[in-house]
Amino acid sequence: MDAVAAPEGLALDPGFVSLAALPPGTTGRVVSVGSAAAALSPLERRLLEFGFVSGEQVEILAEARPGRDPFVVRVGHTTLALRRREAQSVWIELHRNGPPR
Amino acid sequence: MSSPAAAALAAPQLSLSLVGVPNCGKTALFNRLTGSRQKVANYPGVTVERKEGRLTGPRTGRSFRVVDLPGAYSLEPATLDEAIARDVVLGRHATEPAPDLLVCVVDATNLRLNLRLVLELKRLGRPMIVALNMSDLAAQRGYTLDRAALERSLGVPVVPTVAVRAGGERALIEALDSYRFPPATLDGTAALGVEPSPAASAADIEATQREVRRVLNEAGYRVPARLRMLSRLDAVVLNPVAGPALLAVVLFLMFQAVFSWAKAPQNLINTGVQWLNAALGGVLPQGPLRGLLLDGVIAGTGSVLVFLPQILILFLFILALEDSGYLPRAAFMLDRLMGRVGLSGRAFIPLLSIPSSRDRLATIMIAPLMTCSARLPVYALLIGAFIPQRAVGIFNLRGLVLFALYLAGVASALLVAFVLKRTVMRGEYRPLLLELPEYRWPHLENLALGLWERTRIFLTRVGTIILSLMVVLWFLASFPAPPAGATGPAIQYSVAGFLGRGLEYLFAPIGFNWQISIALVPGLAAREVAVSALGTVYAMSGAKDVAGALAPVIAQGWSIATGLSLLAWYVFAPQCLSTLAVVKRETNSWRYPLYMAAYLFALAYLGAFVTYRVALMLGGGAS
Repeated sequence: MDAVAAPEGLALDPGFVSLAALPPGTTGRVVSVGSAAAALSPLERRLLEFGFVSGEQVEILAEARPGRDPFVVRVGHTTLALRRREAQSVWIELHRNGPPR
Repeated sequence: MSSPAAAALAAPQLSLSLVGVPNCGKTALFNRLTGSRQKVANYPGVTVERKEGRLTGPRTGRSFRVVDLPGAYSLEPATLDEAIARDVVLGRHATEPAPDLLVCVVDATNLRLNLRLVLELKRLGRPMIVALNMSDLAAQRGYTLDRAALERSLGVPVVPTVAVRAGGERALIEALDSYRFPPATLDGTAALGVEPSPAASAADIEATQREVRRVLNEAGYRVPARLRMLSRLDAVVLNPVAGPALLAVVLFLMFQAVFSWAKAPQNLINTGVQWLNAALGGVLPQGPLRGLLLDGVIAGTGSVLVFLPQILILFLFILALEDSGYLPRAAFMLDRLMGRVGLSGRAFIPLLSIPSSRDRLATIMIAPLMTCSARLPVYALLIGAFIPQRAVGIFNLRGLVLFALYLAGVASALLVAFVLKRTVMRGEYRPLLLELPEYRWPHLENLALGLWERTRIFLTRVGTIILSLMVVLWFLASFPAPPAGATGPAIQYSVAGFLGRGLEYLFAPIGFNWQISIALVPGLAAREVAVSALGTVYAMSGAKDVAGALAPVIAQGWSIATGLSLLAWYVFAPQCLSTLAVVKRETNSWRYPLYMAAYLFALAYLGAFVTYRVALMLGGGAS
């Protein structure tokens, strides 16, 4: 974890986006979970344990209606259903060929 | 069992814990290892299932007490299940001894997720074997792995297992039989290794994940692209339109099948019970013993026994849905609905199945509307008893009622959750984080074992709680004996008769007669007891041939309005004292269980009252 991983820093970088904002079909790579400044929350810890570690591939598979929430993410070899709110602190670097967002 | 004295015995009994992430096939492997010699109960004070079995090494005669721990992704618990698994593994559990040997079951088709737990466990320094489960499925789907290299890299034995195939446990049994315990572990002097710390940083966890990658790299682990067929299946199942429609169809078919498939086996049981009744009736002399056996024991237990086929059909569906990986997907679809009222979609699962992964919130107040020892079997049983068998178009009336009741249960639970969220439990938020396991074919043998387990639990209940309550009820309903020259059935003059008539004043506005009123009292211990109690009460009131065939007596004697009213009562009534005991323990005060009992009784009375009155208005008053 370095300074770049802080969400404030990420917000300035157009290449990084929160997992919570992504529509189905998007693919990318995990940058980090949580912020370097604060201690890990139990939820962030569990996300890391499920495989949201830097460099891991993610793909959004589906989302429920109405409200596009919760949604289904494939991270590494694991498929997870989670709410957008839970995904807020996961930062993703989009693949170039993914849909622009 | 780690005392020196125990170790000195020729064949000390060793305790073995099966650990693993949910959906790794741990329970199937447990079934394989222990066969049908299992004890299923709950961990004290909580509704997490505890399974124990026995295993004897064929070569050395070494004997193991095998415990199937609840599934856990991590030793840093996020659920009650995980907390129990962690406590047992660390030797901190109040009633469970520290395991002599850990068997960590891993899913060969998702080793990245599974090996993280293995590394955590390994750091504890306890003797451990890794069971590489679903190794056949992995090979078949194109995974590659060098097992020997994995073993070297991990530094613990790794044995391949196929929990769903006969003989798929052989390598593990062989490894258990020949496992060489470090001497220190058996005399209790072994030092524990590193316990997990809740203060671990992201860097620590990422380091463990890197270690997982390193180990898997060394073992040449290669994962093929996800099967196109599975992706296509998910595209339908998780589709925002097709998915919920499919779920509705699945539930609807399930409820229809519960009633339409059960007819033949039920008739068989009925015939058997009636035969037994006639045979005993022919042999026994007139007197109290004859009354006790025929009216109390046979009529009471027989009337609940006939519902076994329905319960088994229901569980067949539930187990198959669970095994196939569909249930968590259903939870995903229902999350939005449940989330509105502050529950997680996960709470839907205990509604359908045996409560194993339960959220604490659901545990507290809403649980009784959802789970009390699996709610659906009880509905099935009550509907079989109280609702006539009729066809409505191509559907079965009972199946329709069950579907409606299920929806009513969900709706009322959601309503209560909504109210609680606005009042008592404001601000509580439940995250949803649910693994959707890969689809698999449910395995027949595993289903059969699961059904056998349910059968045993049901029969044990019939043989213990229900039987003893029926005997007590028979005494209450027989004494004092009627005065000389009395005209009505003897039960009217007994303690139970007076009690029932007293309660009838209270229950008449919701359409209950005195027989029902009596049955409600023992029914407090468990819902299905009410059905038995009705069997006994009717048998003693002189109804003919009650044994095993309560339904026709009821169909003649009650109006539809009364039957529906009783069902509405059971949607809400706190009919399970053990649930209240759990709430008492979880909240550590009598206040919540008492509140809960009060609000549930009030809801039950209100629900039954409204149902009865509406049914009367719609012309359901005729019997």
